[in-house]
Formats: sequence, structure tokens, C-alpha cells
Amino acid sequence: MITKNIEVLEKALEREKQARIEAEKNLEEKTSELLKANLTLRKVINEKEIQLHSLFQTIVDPYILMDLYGNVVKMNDAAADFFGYDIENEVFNVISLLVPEDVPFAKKTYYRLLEKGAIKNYKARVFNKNKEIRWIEISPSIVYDEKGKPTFTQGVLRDITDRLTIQKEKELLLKNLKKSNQELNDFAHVVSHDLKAPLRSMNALVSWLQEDCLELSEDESIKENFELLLKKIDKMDHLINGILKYASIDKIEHPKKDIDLQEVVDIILDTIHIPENVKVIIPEKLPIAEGDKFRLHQLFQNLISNAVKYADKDNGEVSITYETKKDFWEFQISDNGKGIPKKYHKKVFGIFETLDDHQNSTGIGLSIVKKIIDLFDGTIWVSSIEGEGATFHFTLPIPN
Amino acid sequence: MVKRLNILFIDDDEVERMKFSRVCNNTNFKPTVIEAVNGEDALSKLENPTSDLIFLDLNMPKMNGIEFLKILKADKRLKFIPTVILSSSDNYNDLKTCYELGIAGYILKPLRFEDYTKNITTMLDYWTNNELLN
Repeated sequence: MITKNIEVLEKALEREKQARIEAEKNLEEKTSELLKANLTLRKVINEKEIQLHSLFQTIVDPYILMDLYGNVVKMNDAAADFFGYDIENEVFNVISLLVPEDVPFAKKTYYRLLEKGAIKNYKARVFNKNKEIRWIEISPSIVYDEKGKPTFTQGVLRDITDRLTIQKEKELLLKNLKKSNQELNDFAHVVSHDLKAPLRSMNALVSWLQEDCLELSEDESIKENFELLLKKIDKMDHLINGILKYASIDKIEHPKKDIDLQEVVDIILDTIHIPENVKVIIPEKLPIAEGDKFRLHQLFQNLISNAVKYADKDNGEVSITYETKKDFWEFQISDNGKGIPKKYHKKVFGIFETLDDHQNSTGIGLSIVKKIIDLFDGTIWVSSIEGEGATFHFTLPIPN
Repeated sequence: MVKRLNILFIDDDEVERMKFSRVCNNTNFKPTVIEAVNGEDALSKLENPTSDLIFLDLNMPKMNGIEFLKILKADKRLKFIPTVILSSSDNYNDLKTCYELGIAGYILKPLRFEDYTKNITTMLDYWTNNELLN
């Protein structure tokens, strides 16, 4: 009986032993599995940490992390470089970075931040490492711990000083531009009033003098001189009108429209004086351009009347032609006059440049033409063979 | 019988006044011309004798043409005097203001005296042939 009992006990013991071995083996397996998992986890965390750290360090803009009292606990290289602090060696508070006048507003903003958790585009002035005042923009946010308690404040800040400076410069420039435009308008006003009034008076007084003198004397030279004097007054008036036109050509903005250039040229030919001995030839109907009718009219009128004026005295010929290029037309307005020497080809477009003392040639017409061509982003140039004539070439964009 | 107009001519420029009186003296209409050198001066000369027609310059010191015109057009009686602007400016705003206030014409002062003579003679001819309130 006892032996049997012992046997039973021994069997049980053996079973238990076996079970323990089983369990131990199991445990070992589990442990190793856990270890493995732990290792992978550590690797992942490590990777993430490296990624985060490198991100933190490679953000081009300064990044700072501070406690709720504004003491900086962490910052990236950009921030350290910007402010010139090394938080490894010294403790510093953001308040010390701010321009003193901006501190009250900063505190107010900070309370708002605590309330809302994040704020967008807060602007402030801070001192950089060279003690220069810089404008920064920051969108700070609160970092909470796992229980939802605010622990840190963080933010990436951006130096917007240059942007603000450029913006200010732009505003100033615009203001100046407006002012000079106004001045130009006033100038035009003054010119039309104060410069033209004496001319009218002179014209009247000279006419009366002429009448009176011619009553007293029949001398031809007196008559001629009076005529010349009146012509000079006329020319001065033309000059003033030209300046006014030149000053206002890019001021008055007319709407862009489809403009039939043939129609424009027909009207011009009807209205300007063309001597009988000058023929105007347009071999091919002119195209329809897009733009400001007033300017296109001015452009063609100045060039055509110029060509008519300089065309050959006995057998004048003016031709208006064009060629279609890739995205523009090239127009040619030619005369068969004496031509323009090469050295003057550039000069003719300058204001007040005129190549002869032709009656009423003020040297403004072609500079107006140049200005209009510039407004169309076109180009204009002259070709000429002396003695055979001159051709003005210019381009106008083909509308899409 | 040809009516003789009483004209008030308002311009600060002496030569302009000389031009006007010269043209008037050379016409058959022979109007009586009273001259004023600015708006203020003109207000004192409107009634004795009462003007039939006013020629008004715009750009003048002290009281300019538009200021004068405003006062004139606010007066119950005087507002019926036809007023012709003689200006050196074809400024759009000036034109609009004048027509809004009520004018009988707007002439741009030409450069040449012969053109001026033609303009003024036409005006005198026109207003001499018109029935006026006064």
C-alpha cells in the first residue's frame, strides 16, 4: 500500500517536473520573443528620435521650446545662431529677447495663447545676437502632457524684417509714383495755362504791331520778319502741345479693343494734309490689332505725317506695308525722301531731337511713337539709304 | 435797330481784355464792354448797368471763374444772364462743372488773334440776335 502510494507520488512528481520543464521552456520562448519585440521597438524609437532630432536641427527657421514661464528649454541650431545663445551653458528667458516696448503686448498674447492653445502669425520685435532689432513672426502653440496639462510652449519663428522692409519700400515707391503722377498732371495743367497764355498775348500783340507797321511802311522785309515771328510763336505752341501729349500718352488708359488698323490709317489719311505730289500706297489691307485706339492712332499718324513730310518734293511716295512673323507683325512705313544718315538712326527717337529746322518739327513726334511702341512691348528701328529714302520698322503683337 | 449789348468781360490778363475790346470795336455790334479783373471785381460790376452777357475766364486770382459762376447761378435774378466761358483749358472736369452750373457756351482761347476774332464775332452776332430777359 505504501509502495503504491510512493509510486503514485513519484509519478505525480515526475509529471510536475515535466510540466515545469515545459513551462520553463515556454517562458524562455516568450522571453526571447519579448526581447526581440523590445529590440525592434527600441530600434523604431531610436529611428524616430533620430528623425525628430534631425528635423529639429534642420528646420531652417529658428525653433524654440520653453516652459510656461518663458524659460527656453530647447532650441535648434538656427535659433541658437539667430539669438546667439547656447542653452547648454546658460539659461535665458524669451522676455529678454523682446524689445521692451513690445513686452506688454507679448504678455497679453501669451494669455490668449494659454486660453486658445495656439495662435497664428504673432508679430514682434526681438534682438538678434548682434543686438539688432528684427521683426519676427511666430505661430506658437502649447504642448500638453498625457493628462492634458499644459507643460511647454513651442513655435517656429520667421525673420520677416526683410519682407517688411521690402513691403515698406514698395509702399513708399507707390506713394512717390502717385505723387509724381499728380505732379505731372499739375505740370501739364501749368504748362497749358501759364506757358500758352503769354503766347496768345504775343500773337495778338505781334499781329497788331504788324497791322500798324504795314500801314506805315510797305517794306517787304518788315512783313517777312513779322511772318517769321508769328511762325515761331506757332512753333512754340506746337512744342507745348507736343510736350503735353508726350506727358499724357501713358497716363490716359483707354480700354483694349480690336482695332482695325486699315480704318485707323484711312481716317488719318483723310485728316492730315497730304500735298498733291505725294502718293500714299498701301498694297495689302492692314490687319486688326488689339489695343488702345487713341495710342494706335497716334502711332500711325506721327509716322505717316513724318513720312509725308520727308517724302520727295516732286514725286513723293509713302508706303505702308507689313509682314506676319511668329507672334508679331512687322510694319514698315517708308518714304522716298533724302534718307537719314546712319549715325542718327538711334537719335531720332530721343525727345526734342529733330534733324532739321523744318517748320513745326518739334522733335517730339517720334519720341511719342517710341513711347507707344514701348507700351506695346514692341521694337522700332530705322533703315535708310541716303538719297533714296527712309523706312521706319516697328512691331506690334498679334492678338491671341 | 441793332441792339447794343451790355457785356461784362472778366479776365485777369490785360492783353486778353485788350483783345476783346479790340474785336468789339471792330464789329458793327458795338457792344458796351465793362471789364473786370476777377470774380470778386465782377460781382460789383454786374448790375450797373445790368449785364446782358458775360464772358468769363476760369483761371483767375482771388475768385476764379467757377466760384464766380456758382455765386451767379445761385442768385434768383442774375442766374438768367447768359455766360460764355473763355478758357485756355479743355479740362474735362472744368467743362463738366461749367455745364452742370449752367453756361451759354465754352470757347477755348485760340492761339491766333485772327481765330479769336472769328470766335468772338460769331458769339456777338449770335447773342445780338437773341431775345434776352432783361
